[in-house]
Amino acid sequence: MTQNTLILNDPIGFHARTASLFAKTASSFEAEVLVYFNDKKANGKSMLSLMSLGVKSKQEIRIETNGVDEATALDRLSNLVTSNFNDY
Amino acid sequence: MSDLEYHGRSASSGLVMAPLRKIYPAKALYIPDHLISDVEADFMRFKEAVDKARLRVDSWKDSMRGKLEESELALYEAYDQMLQDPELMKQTKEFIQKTKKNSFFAFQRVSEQYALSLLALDDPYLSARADDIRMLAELVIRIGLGQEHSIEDWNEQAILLAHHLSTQQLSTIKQENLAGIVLVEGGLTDHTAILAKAMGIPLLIGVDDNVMKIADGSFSILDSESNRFIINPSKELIQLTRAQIKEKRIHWEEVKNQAQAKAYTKSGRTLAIEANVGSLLEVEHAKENGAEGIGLFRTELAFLQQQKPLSEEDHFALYESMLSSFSGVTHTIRLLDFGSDKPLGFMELPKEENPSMGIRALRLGIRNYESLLKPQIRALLRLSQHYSIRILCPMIASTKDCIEIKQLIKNELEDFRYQDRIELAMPPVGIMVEIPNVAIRPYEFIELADFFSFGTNDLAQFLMAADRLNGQLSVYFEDAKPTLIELIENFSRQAKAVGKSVSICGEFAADTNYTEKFIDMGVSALSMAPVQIPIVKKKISELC
Repeated sequence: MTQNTLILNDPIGFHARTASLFAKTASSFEAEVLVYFNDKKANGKSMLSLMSLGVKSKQEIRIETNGVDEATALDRLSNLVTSNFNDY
Repeated sequence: MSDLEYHGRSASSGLVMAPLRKIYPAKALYIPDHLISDVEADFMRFKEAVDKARLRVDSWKDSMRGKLEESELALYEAYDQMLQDPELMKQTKEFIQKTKKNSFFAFQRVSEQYALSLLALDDPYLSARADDIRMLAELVIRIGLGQEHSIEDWNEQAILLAHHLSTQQLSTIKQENLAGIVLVEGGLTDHTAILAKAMGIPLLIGVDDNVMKIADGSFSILDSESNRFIINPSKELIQLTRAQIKEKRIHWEEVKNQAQAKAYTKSGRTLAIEANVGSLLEVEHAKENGAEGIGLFRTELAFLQQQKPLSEEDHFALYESMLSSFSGVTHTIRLLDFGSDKPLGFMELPKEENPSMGIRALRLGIRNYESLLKPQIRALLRLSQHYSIRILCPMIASTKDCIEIKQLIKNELEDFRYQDRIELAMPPVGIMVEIPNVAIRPYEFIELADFFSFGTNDLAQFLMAADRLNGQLSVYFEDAKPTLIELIENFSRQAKAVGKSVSICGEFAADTNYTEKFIDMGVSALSMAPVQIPIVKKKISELC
């Protein structure tokens, strides 16, 4: 299991575009992806689940990946969030 | 029978005549809660319904392609992703296994949970997504249980009358059969209104509830231009309306056809008629309406929805698709005019007392040079090597402003030369004349820029100290016209003496009472909303 804690800088937070991009990227990996926010947990491959976390701009999330490609998955997803969902 | 008249507000204007067709709210969804024994077979049936719903969403997207911007079409992609959501599917299955209830019942429960949890977050953006989830769940269930509320099968032109019409319903109707829409509810800026406008279908909203009592099939006239909906019109009115519609159609088609050619006065004088645009869709309209080029590309409008900083490639891609689809002529692209009245999705701006006189346009762009102006300038410089473009700088107040922005553009050219080893030529750089200090003292600025474009909306608001967004002050804009004429005339004379051009790109440019005056003054181009181009060109052809 690998994990990373980071700030979501997108001005709106997890909304349709960002949640959609995150879920699509997460789905391209075999590893299970979980996103923790406050006391809530979401399936990182589910756009609906991510949106219902209610993460707003500048709030902290923790990404956890479990599985064969967990390191690459965590790396790619962390990049996606820190690059502010750019270039994807 | 006497006329019966209803009033409302026009959300998309037009005049049409057709029988009305009432759309009732869909019959309440009936979801049986029976238990099942073969979970797999039942779930398969449900999955089939989901697949059909996805195809449906895809067909909505297709039917809106070319009518909506790409960014708006993305909504349909989000729908597709929601319909395939792994968590939604997994939890539905778990619900079935636990309760042995049928799939559609389980799916309704699970999707409603998501809708409720989004609503609980109390965020208007996510609440709209909750509505989307409910709409999609209903679609799947109606398809799966054969309870579809179909309104697509009628075979003649009709005016649709309903309490409320969702975008989803609207997109299922064959467009050729939809003459107009009358709604009891609805807003001027909701998605249904945006779609109706995009499709060119007249839409009247906010009509009295009693309108729903009218018999289905009643013949009616929808004149949303004058906010009226008339039931069972008299023979005379029908004849009159038929004539009006015919005249309008002939007139407009004629005017539009003629607009494809350059317009000359009877004595052979002319000036360029160009278009103001803010999106690629408008570029298409500009071409259709006979624009001789884009006279003002309001680049900030194309990026208003953008949630991330703009990259050089974002800029390049947008302008490139514009330039390649409208080639062979010169286009004028204005640098970003963001400001606290045109907020950015990706950057927080401080609140200002007087945003129109605050840190906007270049004042903002230069303060955030790396993220706002630099990528745009670099993209424009690269494009200028392949296309004939001019760079227009907004909100220039002083000669210092003018010198500063030109220096920044030069610096980028130097960067290309020394860092990227590319020799680029400097495209023409012009300034907006929209601040009185510039308009009054042309001689100070004429040497500093390659061309000049009067932004009459802002110039009038600053001349009259009258906020252009305040409807109660609109009378001042009429009074500003003689002053504007004097300023343009003076500027134009001095610019022409050194061989530089002056154009007008505010609303004033389309005022046909002044078209002749503009030609007399030697204005080189008028740039206006695409829809006004045919009218102004017609005016020119009537002048001596």
